[in-house]
Amino acid sequence: MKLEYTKEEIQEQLINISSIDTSSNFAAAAVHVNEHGIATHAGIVICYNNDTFLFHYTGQAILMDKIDTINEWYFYKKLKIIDTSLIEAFYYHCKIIERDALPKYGFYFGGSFYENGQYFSELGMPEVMTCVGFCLNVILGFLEEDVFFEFDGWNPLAPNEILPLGGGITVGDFFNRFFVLKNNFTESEIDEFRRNFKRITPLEYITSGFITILPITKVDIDKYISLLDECLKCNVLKLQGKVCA
Amino acid sequence: MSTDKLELKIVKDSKGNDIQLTDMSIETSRSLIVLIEALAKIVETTPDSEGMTIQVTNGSACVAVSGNNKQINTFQEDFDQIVQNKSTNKQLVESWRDIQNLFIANGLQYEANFTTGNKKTNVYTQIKTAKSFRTKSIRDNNAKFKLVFLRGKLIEIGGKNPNIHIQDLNDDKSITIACEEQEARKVNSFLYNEIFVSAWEKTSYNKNPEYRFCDVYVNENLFNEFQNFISNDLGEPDRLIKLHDKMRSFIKKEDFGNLKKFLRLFNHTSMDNNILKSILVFTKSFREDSKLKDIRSNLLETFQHQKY
Repeated sequence: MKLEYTKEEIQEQLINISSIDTSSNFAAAAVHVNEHGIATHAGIVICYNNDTFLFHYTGQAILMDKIDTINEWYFYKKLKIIDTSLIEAFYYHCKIIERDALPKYGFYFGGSFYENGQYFSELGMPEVMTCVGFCLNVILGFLEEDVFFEFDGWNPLAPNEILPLGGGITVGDFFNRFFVLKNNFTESEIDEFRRNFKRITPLEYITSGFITILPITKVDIDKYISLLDECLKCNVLKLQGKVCA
Repeated sequence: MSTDKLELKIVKDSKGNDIQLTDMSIETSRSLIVLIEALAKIVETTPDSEGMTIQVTNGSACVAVSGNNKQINTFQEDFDQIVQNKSTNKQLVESWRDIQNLFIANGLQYEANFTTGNKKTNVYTQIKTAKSFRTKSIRDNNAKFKLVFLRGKLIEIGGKNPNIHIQDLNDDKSITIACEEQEARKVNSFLYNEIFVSAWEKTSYNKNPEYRFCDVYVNENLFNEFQNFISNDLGEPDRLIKLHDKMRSFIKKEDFGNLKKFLRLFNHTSMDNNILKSILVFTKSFREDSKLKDIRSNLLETFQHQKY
């Protein structure tokens, strides 16, 4: 399979937020990596008028953090699908979402977006998402296109799959807690949720930063994902003062 | 031998008959002359076109120039520039304009194609429906535009190039605002009364300001509201949030009519692309709404035109 990017090129374009270049505006896909080089959280880095921010959803709140307040390890890839001449518009698109949006945490990936701070789901689904889902929703809302990620390529999670929430919580558990105990949803809404209950990982998200043709499919992502994984792990080793093969 | 070419064809005469080069009407032969002349000039004014020849063949009356891939591609790229009104090559623009005028004017049936490699691109419709080809004036780049809000007595409408004249109520100064026929008709009922309009003021070096019509307001409050927004809110650092909230206020009241009027204020090539993009993002979910469809599609076109 011939790829457009070599490992070296990917390495070059995955930048540590500690060395962020503020000389010109941009928006970027960003992930937090742990000490093993695993991407565990997703966000959007915005550089606007020399100020830099990490825009992300923690599962509790939507935050627009100033980059110089962040101590964790984050790597970003500049997004070509967001034109650098439109960063003022993108920044305020995010500010309005920060002000008005009220997402709840959950693994729904059914094709939705934030446009003008309003959550819009074609299927009328409630505002439920993960940190990755949040980023995808923000970006899609800004694009003129109708589709950003082609979610059909990802399979729905099975009820016994364990979610990365700690405590060994399964999909089934999550469903029961979220839908039965806390919220009022109809049967068909719950069904719709089950069908779209998927997991798109932060690693897949940062990989998508290297794909410029929309919609982004799982096949596209799978082409690069192991390279991205290697590069992130390599970057972390370097941060730890170790040598990387 | 290369098969890449630019072809201009007269397919049928004004009576709907096939063309025979050996037996043409005067009208057809005059059209043929225009096509040959225009094509020859296109070849002459394009660099690296030495050795290119022109063919006139039967089977429709076809005037073509063939060349290698690079040469024909150059013709096509230049053509695209002209359609987008970006060409400063006067002679080239004039040649294509002659072709354009021919297509628009008489009742013959034409075809125009670029053939590069295996790809044949039909450009006839593009030529016929485009605005009259003009050389992009270099001076235009120095023109500054500003949206202004004018009130006064409407004292005249009309003219061969449609315009309206508004007289200031305080001094006797009169302003001429260029517009489209449809727009002139829209203000008709205000003749000799006070009128509230918005217009694009163009100031260029060494010239008096020129005005182009944007919209008319029946309601003085709306006029003041819009004027206030443009003069004050748009100058703020968080102008895009104010813009969003303003649009949202119309949606909340389900006042699509006035939202449409509000959006018209931004449909101009001088408008900052970040403003246009913010509007497009806000109205994304209204793309198919009957009231907003057209203005959004116009704004999208203005936005895309600017990205070049």
